[in-house]
Formats: sequence, C-alpha cells, structure tokens
Amino acid sequence: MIFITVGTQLGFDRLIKVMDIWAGSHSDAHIFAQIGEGVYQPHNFDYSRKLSTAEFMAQAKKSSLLVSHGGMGTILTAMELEKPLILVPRYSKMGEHRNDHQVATCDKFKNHKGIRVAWKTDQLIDLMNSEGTLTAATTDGLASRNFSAALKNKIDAILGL
Amino acid sequence: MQLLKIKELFLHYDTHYASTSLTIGQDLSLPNYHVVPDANLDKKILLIYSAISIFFLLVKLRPKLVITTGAAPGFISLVFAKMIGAKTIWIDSIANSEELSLSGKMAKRWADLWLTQWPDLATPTGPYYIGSVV
Repeated sequence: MIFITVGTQLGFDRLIKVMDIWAGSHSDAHIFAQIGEGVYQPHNFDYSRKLSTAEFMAQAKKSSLLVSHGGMGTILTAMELEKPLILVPRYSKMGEHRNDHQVATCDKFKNHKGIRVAWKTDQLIDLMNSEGTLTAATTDGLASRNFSAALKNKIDAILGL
Repeated sequence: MQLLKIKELFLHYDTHYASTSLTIGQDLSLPNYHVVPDANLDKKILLIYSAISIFFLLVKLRPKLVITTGAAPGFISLVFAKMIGAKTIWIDSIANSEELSLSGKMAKRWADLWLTQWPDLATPTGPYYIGSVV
C-alpha cells in the first residue's frame, strides 16, 4: 500500500493531482491519501482529510512506500518504521507555502538512505515508476554518533569532568 | 524519544530518565525510569499537577545536570533544576526545523547550554548547533 500525506496544516493539490494521474494508469496499486485542506479531490484512490496520530501511524505501518510533503514528521516516521520515502517539497513561488523551508528540509535529507526527493513533478512520476527498487529509510547513525560525541564534550565540561 | 537515539552516551553517567510515556521505560528496559504527567499550555490544571510532580522528582533525585528536548514538562524541569542548583541543557526538538518552539525560546534564560538541532536556527548568542539526533 502506498500512503500519501500532505501534513496537518495545508493542502497540497499539486502532489495529489500528480499521484491521481499516476494511479489512473496503475490500477493495481493500492493507495491511500491524507489530503488535508486540499481543494483537489482524487478519483483513483481513497482519501481522508485528517488522521489522528494513531491512524496516521497505522497507515504508515501498513504501507510499503510513503509519499509526503517535505515535513519533518513524515521523515521521522519513515525512519522509525523503516519505510521508503519520497519527499515532495512545497515551493513558496508556487504559492504552496509561505517560505521555502521544506526545500531546506528536503535538501538536508536528500542523500539519506531510503529517502528520495522529487524536486520536480516529473521526477515524482519517475520515482513512482521505480517504486519497487526504493530502499527503506533508516537512521544511518552517523549524525547521532557525531552529536553524541559533541554533546559528551559539553556535558563533561559542564560537570567539570 | 529523541534523547533515546543517543542513549549510549548516557550510559557513561549515573542517569535517570523521565518522560510522559507510561510504557517506554519498560519497552526499552531503561534503568531508573520515572513517569511524569504530561502538560501543555491548553490545560492549566494539568500543567500545575505536572509541575508539582516534576518538582518533587527533582528534589528526590537531586541531579547535577538536567537535559531535555522539551516541551512543557521539559521546560518546567529546567526551571526547577536551576532552583535546586543543577546545571541544565536544552536541546530543541528536531521537529522544530523552522523556528524554535515557544518553550525553546523561553529556555534561553534557564539553560546553561541552549541548543538547536538545525544549523539555520543557530545564532552567535544562541541557540547553538553542535549536531542532531538524525
């Protein structure tokens, strides 16, 4: 099952439209979407506007692929549940968000294991067409090891060790 | 939950853990795990109850250092920690990629070390960036 999420704050019509078109030519794909306050309503898969945290996690757990706006919540979920993740950042120039923070978030995680970023809509189609080859996201541990070491130095300094 | 991603670090010290989760201590076999009541600004009565519980826990444990990623219970812990003479570290949540949380901003006053996990949010006068949990 492919789980699409646009986050809790805004709709994301561009993402839902493209996925609807893709789903139209892949009728064997099982898809569920959380579309938020989006105006566009998909024809080719079921959707809900809002999900509780428990419902969201349940859908994410059931899925074999997450397709998401560029939000930290889904990134953390994908890593925790070890699911492949395709990120689609919102762009302020397209009126999708008030700033380009999602671009920055996607940029930080673009090379992370199991996470792919679709900067452009056609890249999303390409990624969806190769979804069988996408690897699962995990925490590779490097960031946390580096942070751990840096934090240990600070802690030892504070404690006078 | 984020501090658990670096839990090996805390094995170097005599560490007690506290959170609002009823099950995580058991789930992960954490030694010295304490549950504290959850609280947020929307529920003032619960906030007071949480604060009282946290205060008594800190007085009982008398830690030298309190580390938290927030939010409200974490902030409360920092304030009380200072009152009992402990050192404090605030690590703003990795989820706050756009700006510091409200409690994160307020924590400046009460944190000996005030950290963000996003380099773009760091400033010369804090919060500082020394890395992130993922």
